[in-house]
Amino acid sequence: MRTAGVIMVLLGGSCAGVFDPILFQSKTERRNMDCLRLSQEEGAERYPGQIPPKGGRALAGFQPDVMACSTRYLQPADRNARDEAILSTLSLQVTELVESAGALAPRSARWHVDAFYPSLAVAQKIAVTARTTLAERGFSVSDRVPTLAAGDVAVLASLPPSEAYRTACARSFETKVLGPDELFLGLMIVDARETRLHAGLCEGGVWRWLP
Amino acid sequence: MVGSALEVFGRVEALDPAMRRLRRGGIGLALVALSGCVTFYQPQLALQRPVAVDPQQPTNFTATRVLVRCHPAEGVEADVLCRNVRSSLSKQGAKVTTEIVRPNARAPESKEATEAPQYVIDITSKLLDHSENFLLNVLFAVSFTLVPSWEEWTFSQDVRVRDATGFVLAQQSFQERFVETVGLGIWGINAIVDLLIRPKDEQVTGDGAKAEFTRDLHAHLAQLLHNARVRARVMNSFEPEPSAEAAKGTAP
Repeated sequence: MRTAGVIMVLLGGSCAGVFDPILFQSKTERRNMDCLRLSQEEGAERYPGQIPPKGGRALAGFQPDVMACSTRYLQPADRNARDEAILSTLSLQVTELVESAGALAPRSARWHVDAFYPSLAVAQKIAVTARTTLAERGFSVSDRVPTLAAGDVAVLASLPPSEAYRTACARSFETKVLGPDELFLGLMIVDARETRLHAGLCEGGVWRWLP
Repeated sequence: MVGSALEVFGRVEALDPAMRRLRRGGIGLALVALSGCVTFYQPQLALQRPVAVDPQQPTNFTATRVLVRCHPAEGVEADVLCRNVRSSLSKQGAKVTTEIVRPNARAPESKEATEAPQYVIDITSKLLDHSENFLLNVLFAVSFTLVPSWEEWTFSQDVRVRDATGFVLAQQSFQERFVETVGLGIWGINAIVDLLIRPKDEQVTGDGAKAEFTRDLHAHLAQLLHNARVRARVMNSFEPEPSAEAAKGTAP
């Protein structure tokens, strides 16, 4: 009996390993999670009530860490691979580009934003995210998308990206689609297999790519 | 690294009294059990995202000169990583040289390429966490491996792609976790499930975890390098990529 008791205690103590959730998940389930390893202190701040604050062990010098995982809403195959790669990092990418653009432009300018992406639905998401991010940073953002005349658009569509954006910017300024105190921020991909957005800024008829 | 039977054997060898019992019980049984490890791989950060570049395409990086620099760290075999990345990128058409970056000295591994690289990929791998359950290891030994041992590793890779002048074109951090259980019981159950139920790409008793991680990492490295190339073109106003002569002397 005593031996059985000892074994039960040992088994109980080792349950943490045996019942690791990963052992019972399918490959798809394991791949459909985004996880982040945090210190216990940071975890308690982010997930109060779910992760206890620093305990006696931590105060004694033992630094436990926690892993915060969230299951994604969409299954990996639900969206096109490039769309999924861009949308899953959209906020991060757009924030970087918007901050870079914001640093180059005068504070008083009025911003127009548009995105150029093969899928219209994804393009709209990119544009809305950029507008929201600009507005959150206190910039004046317009809902209007500057539109060139049909003849200009037809010509621009035939140009490679290296020329198209530059020409469209100059033309917008010449035809007063964009005023002197207005800026146009364009977000786009220029290669069918890339998963990183680029951005360019049109100011006073001059187009420049953002670093 | 993970799944190495030698490593597993070494770990059990440390449990001397238990090992003696195991030996008495039969070396054969122990060997069967020790070879019976089940490894689970869980991509945690970025590695599970899909990529738009097909890393099987032999023309992805035709004639692109790449220097892969691997930074060694505890628990990571930088030379193996560099060699594998080199092989993967070479199959996609790139001319790859590798370098293991040591704290005080640089030891180029390959002297094949004489031209300066157009892109430099820095890979810094780290073992973030390693834990095992002592109680389970004891039970593993006294139960003749019917109770499995359990061990986990979490690794990270920080990857930066720069151009020849040192400008960072793309960067990404990856993180993954491996859980390894060893034991006749758990291996037996999983072997039966693998045989009867699990589809081939879901099986856990072979080398699948390692292969899946390698596939993920190489696909993402290809995607990063592709993104970096496109970004370099955009930054250079879509000018053609610099020639070898222009790149010489500007490499870091």
